[in-house]
Amino acid sequence: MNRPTSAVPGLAPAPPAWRVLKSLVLLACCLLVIIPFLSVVSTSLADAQQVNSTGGYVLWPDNPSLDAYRAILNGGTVSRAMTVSVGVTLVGTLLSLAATASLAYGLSRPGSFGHRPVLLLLILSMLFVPGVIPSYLLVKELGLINSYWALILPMMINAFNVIVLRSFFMSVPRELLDSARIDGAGELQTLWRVVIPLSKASLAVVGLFYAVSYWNSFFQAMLYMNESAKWPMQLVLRTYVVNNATIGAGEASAAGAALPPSYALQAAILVLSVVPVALIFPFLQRHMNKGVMLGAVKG
Amino acid sequence: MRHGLTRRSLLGSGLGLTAGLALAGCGDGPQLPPASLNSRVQLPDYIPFDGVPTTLPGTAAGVPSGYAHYPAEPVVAFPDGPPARGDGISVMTLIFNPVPPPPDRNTYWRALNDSLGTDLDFEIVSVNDYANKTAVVVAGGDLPDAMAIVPQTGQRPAMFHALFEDLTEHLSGSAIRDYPNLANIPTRSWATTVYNGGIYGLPMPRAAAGSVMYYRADRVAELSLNPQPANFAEFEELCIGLTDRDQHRYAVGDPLTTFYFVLEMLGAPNKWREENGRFQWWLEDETVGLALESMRRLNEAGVIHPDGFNVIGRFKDWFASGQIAINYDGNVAWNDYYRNYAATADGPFEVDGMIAPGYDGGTGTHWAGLSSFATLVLKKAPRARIRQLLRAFDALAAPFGTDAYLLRKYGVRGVDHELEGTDPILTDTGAVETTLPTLFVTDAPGALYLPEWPDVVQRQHSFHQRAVDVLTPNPAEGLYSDTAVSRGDQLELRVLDEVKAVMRGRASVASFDGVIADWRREAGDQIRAEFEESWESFQ
Repeated sequence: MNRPTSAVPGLAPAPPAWRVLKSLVLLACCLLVIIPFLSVVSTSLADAQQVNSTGGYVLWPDNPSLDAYRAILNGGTVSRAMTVSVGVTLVGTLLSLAATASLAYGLSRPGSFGHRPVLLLLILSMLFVPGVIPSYLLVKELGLINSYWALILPMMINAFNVIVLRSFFMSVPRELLDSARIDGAGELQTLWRVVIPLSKASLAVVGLFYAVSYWNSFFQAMLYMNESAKWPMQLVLRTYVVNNATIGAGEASAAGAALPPSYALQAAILVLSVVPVALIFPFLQRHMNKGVMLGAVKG
Repeated sequence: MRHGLTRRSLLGSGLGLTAGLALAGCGDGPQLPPASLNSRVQLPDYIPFDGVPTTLPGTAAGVPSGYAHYPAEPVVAFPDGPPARGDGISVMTLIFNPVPPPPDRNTYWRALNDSLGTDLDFEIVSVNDYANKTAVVVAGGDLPDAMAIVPQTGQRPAMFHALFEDLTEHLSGSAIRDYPNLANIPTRSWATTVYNGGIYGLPMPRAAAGSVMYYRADRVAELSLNPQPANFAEFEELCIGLTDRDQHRYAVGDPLTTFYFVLEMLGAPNKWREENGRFQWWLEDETVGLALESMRRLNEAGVIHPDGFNVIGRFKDWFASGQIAINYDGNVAWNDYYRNYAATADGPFEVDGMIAPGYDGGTGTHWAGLSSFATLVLKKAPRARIRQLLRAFDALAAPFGTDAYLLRKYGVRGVDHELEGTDPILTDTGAVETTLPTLFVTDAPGALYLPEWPDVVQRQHSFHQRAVDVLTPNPAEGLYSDTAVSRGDQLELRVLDEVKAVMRGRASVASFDGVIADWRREAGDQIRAEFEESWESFQ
């Protein structure tokens, strides 16, 4: 009779009861993750009657409809905000990667001009974060109020990401860089043709960090964007969801405001705001551990 | 109390706003006029608009007028054409709801601009972010032409004096006649705009009755219960009758607002009590102990929703879904309950409001709401510009029954609303476009109007009449205390956590005396002293 064998040589196979228990625990963990997502999607698809009768939490829509999505896309505020968010995230991430890689490469080369003072300044910027008002005054003096650049430039370089990339760049064998120089490559060519191709994993991770932070950012827009037509998705989302959650609807009524949007609308805009990141993340996730670990432990 | 706008005082307050002012270079600003000048301010004359007859008239004491239908021929508010022709006007204000589409995609907004004769450039800020935004805008020095200042804003007297226009000469006494719609705003709302011996802004009037203890009239009728309890014991009986734990149905959701209702039964102060210039905080009142004991009884009887102590922002939904049958909420929620929930309810859905009876019978009280939600201040500007701004905001205060009100609340016919008879019913587009927050600029006094359910208006009017008869105002409204702004809300939240603990039986009623003693020591006595000083300046 063939007996089940352990996957690990020398270890006895786990008893069936133990494996069932493990499966149940893992299933429970999965449900803990899946049910909230399912509830949000279901609520966004449920009709008003079901949303009201369940008090806002729908696990499965009885009569699925896209009314909530039509309602939030009516008027164009959400679709425009989505466009703004996508644009800012794409442009911002590209610029951030370019600036971060350039700075990290410079700092990774011992003896480069101003290497130590710049590194010190970079670390100091992690310790002493400028306050809201000084940042606002700077952006205002630069004439960036109501400009999309105000959503990108203040966040363009993140010191942590620079240090992660610098650590990785320092691990690139010196012989490779020397051979590039012997072949006549300048610093930019060395960076572009030798270092960047070797750093795809780290760049993917840092790019993901930047992209997620641009996508999720609402505070900069709140400060710098006076025209609501230029708001990104997360700030629009905030007016749908957070107002209701933090102040209590009673206070809004006392102020004279109308009822907050229905849970179906709130759920629909949540879905819309999560979908792009959820779509991109699986493609970059495999680089995640590799890239972070490479940057963190080397150098 | 003198509040010069100095770097030291601003930085000392520790608020973002004040830091912003300091950084903006206000420096050692002009010395403030003595607060005692407040007593000499002549508030604007009150000239009520009576252009639309109704069988449910309002009163000067604060009962809003009720209307079954919109007039077939609305009063023309501005027969001479757009009242505020001239340069565009930037207004920064807050919003509780999603933002409307911008003017290029918003028929309503464009029509509003056309009706005014100028472009209203709204800088809309989500309510949760308003304090931060106010701080940076003031710090940056690029003030909009007008901005809403909420009561939680620090350094108001100094900031108003340094940066904003004293409107006294334009609005005081009979001068308000140049702005007939603003003259229709009750005097109690204007009282909140007085600082430094002047009128420093326009109020955003709200109904005197403030909140309502709503109940699901359909459920109360179904269970043959008494919807108007005559004392606390009958209220408890009503709550027990409405509770069915097996069906996950409870009487009330929010223990705190139920606590307020019991305090109203006991005649406790509405935030503060003033007697001969001495102030007493509401939770210092001798009735609080009995109110806490009563709430413990309700909690032990199981009539409070089990999640009620832990959540905020869910009570409306529970009320709509029938999980709770009594809910304390703002008076404007009445219409929303019908429009949002009655139309989609799975069965009957009727709402009414109850007034707190006396705890042992007889007459109870009803706490007044905010006379004005916030103050709209105007940036210093030449006289002609100020007058243009005031004409624009006068138009935004046009009352019910006028064509300007119809446009402001219901937008453009055929796009934002359709007429049913003479009544405007918002379309889907209108529901999105008309969220432009004009009611957080200024507004007309509220009118009771629900054309889809005209019978409800009678109930609303009856409620407001009964509430105004036993109204308890907040004597600290319109007074200023630096400490209340900087620490008051935070400390009150901490005390309310202890109130919840006592109600749940996790702390004894006797221990609450210690909580109040801590509140007094930490800042309460200081807040009290500042309010008393401010009150004195108006005498």
